[in-house]
Amino acid sequence: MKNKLQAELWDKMHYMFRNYNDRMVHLKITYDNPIDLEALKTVIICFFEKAPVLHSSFKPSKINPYWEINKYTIDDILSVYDGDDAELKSDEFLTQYIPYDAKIQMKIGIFRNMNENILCIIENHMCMDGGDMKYFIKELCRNYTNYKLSGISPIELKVGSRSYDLVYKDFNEAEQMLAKKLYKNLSAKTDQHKFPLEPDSIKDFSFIVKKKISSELFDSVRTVGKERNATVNDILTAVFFFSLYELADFDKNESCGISCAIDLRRHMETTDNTGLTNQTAWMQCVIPKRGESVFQTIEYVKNEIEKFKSDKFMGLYGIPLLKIAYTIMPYQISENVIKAGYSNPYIAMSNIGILNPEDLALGKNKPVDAFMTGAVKYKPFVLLSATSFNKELTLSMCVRGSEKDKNTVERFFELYENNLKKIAENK
Amino acid sequence: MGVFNNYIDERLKNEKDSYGIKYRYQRHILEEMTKKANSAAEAGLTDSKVISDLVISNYKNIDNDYKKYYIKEIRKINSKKFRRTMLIISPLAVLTSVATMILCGIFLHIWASAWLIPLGVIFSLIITINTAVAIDMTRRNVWFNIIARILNSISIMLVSVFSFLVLLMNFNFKDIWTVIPMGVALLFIADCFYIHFTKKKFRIVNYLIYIPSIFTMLFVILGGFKLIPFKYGWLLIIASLILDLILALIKINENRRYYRSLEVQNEK
Repeated sequence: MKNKLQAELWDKMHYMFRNYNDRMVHLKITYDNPIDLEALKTVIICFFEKAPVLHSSFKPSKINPYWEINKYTIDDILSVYDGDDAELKSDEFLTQYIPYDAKIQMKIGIFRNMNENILCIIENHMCMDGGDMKYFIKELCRNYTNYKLSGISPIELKVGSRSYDLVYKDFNEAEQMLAKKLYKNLSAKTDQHKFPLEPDSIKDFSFIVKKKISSELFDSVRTVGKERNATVNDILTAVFFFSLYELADFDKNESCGISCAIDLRRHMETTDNTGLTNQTAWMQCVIPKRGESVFQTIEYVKNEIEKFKSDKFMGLYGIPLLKIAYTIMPYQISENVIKAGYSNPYIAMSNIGILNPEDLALGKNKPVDAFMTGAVKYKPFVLLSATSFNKELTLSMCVRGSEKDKNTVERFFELYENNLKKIAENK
Repeated sequence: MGVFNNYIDERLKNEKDSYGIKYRYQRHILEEMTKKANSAAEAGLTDSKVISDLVISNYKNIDNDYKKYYIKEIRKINSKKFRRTMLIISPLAVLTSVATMILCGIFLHIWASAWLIPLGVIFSLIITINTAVAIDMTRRNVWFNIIARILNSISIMLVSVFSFLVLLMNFNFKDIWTVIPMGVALLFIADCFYIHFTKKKFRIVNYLIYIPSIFTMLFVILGGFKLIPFKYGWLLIIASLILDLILALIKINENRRYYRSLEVQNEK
């Protein structure tokens, strides 16, 4: 049996991002009723056996990095905590970090108290992105349900290649030819505006700040958005811009940019025959100025995003350049070359989308709350993640910073909520 | 274990077998399946039905995998046979050709050209081995294809050198030297076919280099045969450059057409 896996292009890229973030994807789901641990363990082991990258350590060889598959036991992955402070412990669990050379690349925690059962998952972004993480948890819940209720073996997890070039598989020959020639380096355009955080300190710690937007408010915002022909994503991005100008006191006539995550699976008709992997790129959304009202900002964002949407090859720029760099040079050199040409966006946003309670049900046990968020960013970089659950919107930001930074993020979320209220009131 | 045995047996029952390939494959798969089952059990999986379903789910395509394995094994066996045959035939052929040379020299008194017999045999052996290795290299990773191309070129040049020597020794033909530029031209043409059928990336670059080279050889050959005087023959080289230009323009136009369609989409 093979005990090595090839390190794919995005694995190497996310390894390079170790300088900007802790590379962890976080997920937290709260249930009212107990979770059957034995059934959960069975599903987890089956999934780990199906996706060996989850029990591999990344070996950053100077010439050609690879994954080395390790032996593991369920105790390496799953931990269970019982106690009244389950909520606090679950937050502590979420802010931990798995080293790239660890035996396993995903940790699952169950935190139980009298009222709730919290399922927390953290995984290395080098193995898969938010898109596949959503798929993973959905399949985990579906397989758990089928196993527990009908005794069906929990083995339904997609397997296949993890290669970056699967993104081209559903293009016709001419489109493939074109897409593989998109050498333009879009990261070079990164905006210089930064989120107002304190300078780095050795006392900095990782934290996740969450803000829940009620279903009533989110619903009203959506309705106003529809009237103005704006998508939820347009509104969330525009409010991010507007609140940022307010928080950081940017000159309202200055142009500003935010990078938005794009799921490259949009180019693929189906992902059933692919392995768990990363297929995410960034687009730089730049507005010319803040705008007099948040509605004007929405118009700027709409226009900008429309430009990207009309491009058939949205998000595919620069990938062939990365491929060349990793192919023609030894890894150590290619990483330095890519670093020299790559500018990580200071401010970014990822709209992970809807977490459907039906999809996250463990048997008849439906979740009462859920959210997912991206990696803990190192200052001065920040990432705003957005997920919706039961029509409620959860905004989150993971930062390694000080108590003061935490207050700044909290203040940012207050501004964000106020601006959403302004939209809801159509003012 | 029994579950895996039955599964493998059932899935491969209609597959062809020779040289015990099927049994070897079955054993190999069974070992892998057992290892996977043990690894899942060591990780903490206790439900034996789940273990067997899990392992079997990783081997859904063993019939197709077997077909590929079978072809690979047959190739390996044939390659082994070829190596053995060549190991016996090569010294025998060389010895026989040397003996034939001596006999021809003694009885027919053609010592001057008899040495071509062992040379021809040696060249034939080299070409046979070259071809076998080139076929193998073509089946491998794209980086190995360069070795196949070099070997093909060597084979073509050996044929042209041998033809040159045969003509030189046996025929009073004053333009014998034209065989060598013919060989060079043939070498470029053969490589063009190779890169065309193996769909090499950036093959257009090779075509652009080869066309003037082939026409230059043509200029030399036709000039040598006095079919076209040398003072006009150089026009062939100019013609080749024009052909290159046309080919390049066609390619650029093809690429530009794709880009144009992208721009239209952007304007929407």
